[in-house]
Amino acid sequence: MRRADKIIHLITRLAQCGAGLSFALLILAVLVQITGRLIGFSAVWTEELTRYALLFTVSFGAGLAFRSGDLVNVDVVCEFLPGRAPWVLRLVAALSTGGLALYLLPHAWRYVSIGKMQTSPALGVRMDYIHFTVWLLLLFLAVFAALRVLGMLTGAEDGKPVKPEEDL
Amino acid sequence: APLEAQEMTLKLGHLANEDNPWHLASEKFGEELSALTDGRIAVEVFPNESLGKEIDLINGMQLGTVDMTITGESLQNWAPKAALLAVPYAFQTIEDMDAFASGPVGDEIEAQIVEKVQIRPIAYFARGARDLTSNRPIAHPDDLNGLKMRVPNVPLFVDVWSALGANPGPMAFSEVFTSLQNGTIEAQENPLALIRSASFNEVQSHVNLTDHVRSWIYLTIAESTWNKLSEEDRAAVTEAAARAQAYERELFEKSLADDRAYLESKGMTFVEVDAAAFQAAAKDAVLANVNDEIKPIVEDLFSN
Amino acid sequence: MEVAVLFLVFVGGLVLGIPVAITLGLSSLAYLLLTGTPPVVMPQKMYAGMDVFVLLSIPGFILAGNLMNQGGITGRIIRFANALVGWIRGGLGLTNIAASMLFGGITGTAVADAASIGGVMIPGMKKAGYPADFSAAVTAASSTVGPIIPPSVPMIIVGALSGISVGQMFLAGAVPGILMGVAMMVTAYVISARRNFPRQSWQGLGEVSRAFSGAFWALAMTFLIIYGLLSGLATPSETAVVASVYAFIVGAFIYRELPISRVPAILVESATSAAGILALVGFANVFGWILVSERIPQAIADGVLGITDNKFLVILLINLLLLFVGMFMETIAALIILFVPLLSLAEAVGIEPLHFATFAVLNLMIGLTTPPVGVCLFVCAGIARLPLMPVVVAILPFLLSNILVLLAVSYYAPLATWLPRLLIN
Ligand code: NA
Ligand code: NA
Repeated sequence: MRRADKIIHLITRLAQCGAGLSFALLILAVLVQITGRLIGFSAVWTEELTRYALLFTVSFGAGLAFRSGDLVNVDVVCEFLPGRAPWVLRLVAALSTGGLALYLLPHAWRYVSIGKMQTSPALGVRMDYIHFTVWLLLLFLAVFAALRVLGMLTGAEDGKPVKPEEDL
Repeated sequence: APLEAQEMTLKLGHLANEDNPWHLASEKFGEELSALTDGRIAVEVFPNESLGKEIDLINGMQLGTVDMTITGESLQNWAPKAALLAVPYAFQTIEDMDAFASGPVGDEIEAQIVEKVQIRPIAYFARGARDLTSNRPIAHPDDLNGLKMRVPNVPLFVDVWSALGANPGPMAFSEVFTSLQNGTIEAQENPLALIRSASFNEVQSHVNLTDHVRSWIYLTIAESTWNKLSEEDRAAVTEAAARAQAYERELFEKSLADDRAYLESKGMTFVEVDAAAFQAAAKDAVLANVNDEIKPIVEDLFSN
Repeated sequence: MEVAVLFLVFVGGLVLGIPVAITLGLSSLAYLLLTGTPPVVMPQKMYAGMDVFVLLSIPGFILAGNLMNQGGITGRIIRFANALVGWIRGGLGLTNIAASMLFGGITGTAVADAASIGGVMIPGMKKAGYPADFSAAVTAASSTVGPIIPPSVPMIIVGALSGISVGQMFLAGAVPGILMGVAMMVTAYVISARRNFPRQSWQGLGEVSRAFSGAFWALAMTFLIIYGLLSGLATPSETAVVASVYAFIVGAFIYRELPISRVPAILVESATSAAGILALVGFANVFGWILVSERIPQAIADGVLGITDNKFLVILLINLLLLFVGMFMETIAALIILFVPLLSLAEAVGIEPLHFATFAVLNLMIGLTTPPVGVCLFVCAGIARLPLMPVVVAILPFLLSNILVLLAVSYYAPLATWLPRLLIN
């Protein structure tokens, strides 16, 4: 049990660092863009960097959003059912999230791989590194969904959203 | 043709609107192809980026989720020679451009696109020359004087406009109108047709006839789709494409005069510029910034 | 047939409580498999949907809202609103609405508004003797003025989808936003008078001016944002980042309530909330692509025009459709899927794009407070520790007042178009 907690903690930390740093990079890129326009020196790469930083923010953050309940769902019906039903439906939600993400991973990889032939116009990065964000997004969704399923089946959690304060 | 008889429906997505010659030519391509194949092949055209944006559509063609699109210098992200589709001041006239695009170098470009992008050019359409719009007349590079302007995300454009004395920056096209309106930028450059369809006449007073980029754009088909076609059907596709190309040229020539008259009627002033001065100032910047693969070709173009 | 499956799986997934984004993904996947379309289209379209510059406004405004809460800005805005209208019967209800309007001048999303104002006001109102259901309802209903009063994330997204000027849309929202706020205050007052809700005593002009100077830097932000936009300092989506930086500076260095050590955690929290919405945007883009491929938008437009091309009736039908969709779909997903096709329908009967954009966004904001899918409703019920049903009942009068404003804006175009005309020409 302790080991499972440690793994969850580690993965959560990794995703948090990735999301926070990507977001910080995004803010920096926008500020450079605004400043550049004001002082008459526009960098050609700011628009592109902003978009890519946004994509990385989402790819690191989507799994966390699933965990924290920021990936919104409609719990009106399911949470007011009697008995074990809400628990079962939460398990169904986690299973379908994980299942969809897992199913899409190889297809996403194909999308990543066609990026090899392409480079971005301003930064000149190979686009497979950027297409990779959609694969990573699905990976984090799959991992956090799997962790929830495991947690629910072993009785370590009830499948309700974990508030970010508990993670930070 | 009745639906049962169809063996294949090609999905063609592009970014132009329904009135644009490219769209009408795409529809024409569909009609001709359908006629040439007795209705066995149909073409479904999706204008206005409704099926996806340019890069996304090219990715879709590589993945087999779309069959056709219209695309141009963006192809340089895969095939360096496609940068030749948008070299400032490479051609003085549309005839020069035609000779080049349909000549041996044009063939090289197309071959590289097939090889590196895995999509196949089957026709090319002319584009209106790009002109600079602004709120004051700009007749000479000296008039630019740090003009804050938007350029598309093409580094060569940024370099050239910087060299000319402007302050260019890339910006998403969707933000251009608002940014011109509130003065985040003072100018932008595009062909007349786009200036018209984006209503830039509401926020800009002058069209400066810089004609700085003359270029063309390809009608393309996914190589994976092409490989599925029989010899006979390939011939039909090629023939239909040739007819669409001729049809587009007719429409294009009409639209040039049309667009200018329209913009003038909306109060825009057209400014003749000192083309030689612009060219001279731009050339060095172009040569310093084009990729090595096309540099000799550009040098050759400039020396003529 | 395949389209029927698409919708059935979508509704089924929603009812089961599967996240909306995943439900969009599952239903799209069912369609792709049934039609033999390569599933690779899903990651491709997700990527394309998220690789859009203006979407940076979503994390930007969420961060601004979080920084404002932790930097003492929200509290000061509430105090100022309270000094202005707190002395009227049902004063805290009115304060809640006024605070949402002031707050709305800074933040671009309703959910940020609901969480920020609700977090302070709902417990405060409960303590002062207001029923919990009323407290939650008034917070949820008024949070929707946030994206009507500029700035506005949904309007930025509409601009990106359609090319309508975002600056003009922002200005177009100002009058309808104020109208909505005033109408809700009247509603809150009438309810309060009937049910004899408490009032506070008038604290004097001294408190008004003290509260104003306390909130000065917070209120100045509204003007900074509008000024930034009109003067060309930043593009609309960039203002989100400007707002964050401003909230950081005011909270950390002027009010000195924002501990700098908290900033990384706030950054991560905001990134997480934004990622939830952006993942939804990605999956919605797949769903939207399927609808376009099936030419569903044209079918809807043709269907409506087949019934009538009367402008009055078309406006009514569009509003009914959007209200219905807003009951089940998240706003941004609904905009991505429906805005452009409905715009062409509106233009076909002579409705001006700017006018259409204003009432369409207003309509979908109301959808944030309608069951079963109403994110602001969920947030406020959660803060009030209530099940959804009582809050739904309590919000009905406010829904009615918001719908009246919607009808006014839909049928009297100058409410939207007068201000942008005045300021921009
Ligand atoms: Na707002
Ligand atoms: Na709703």
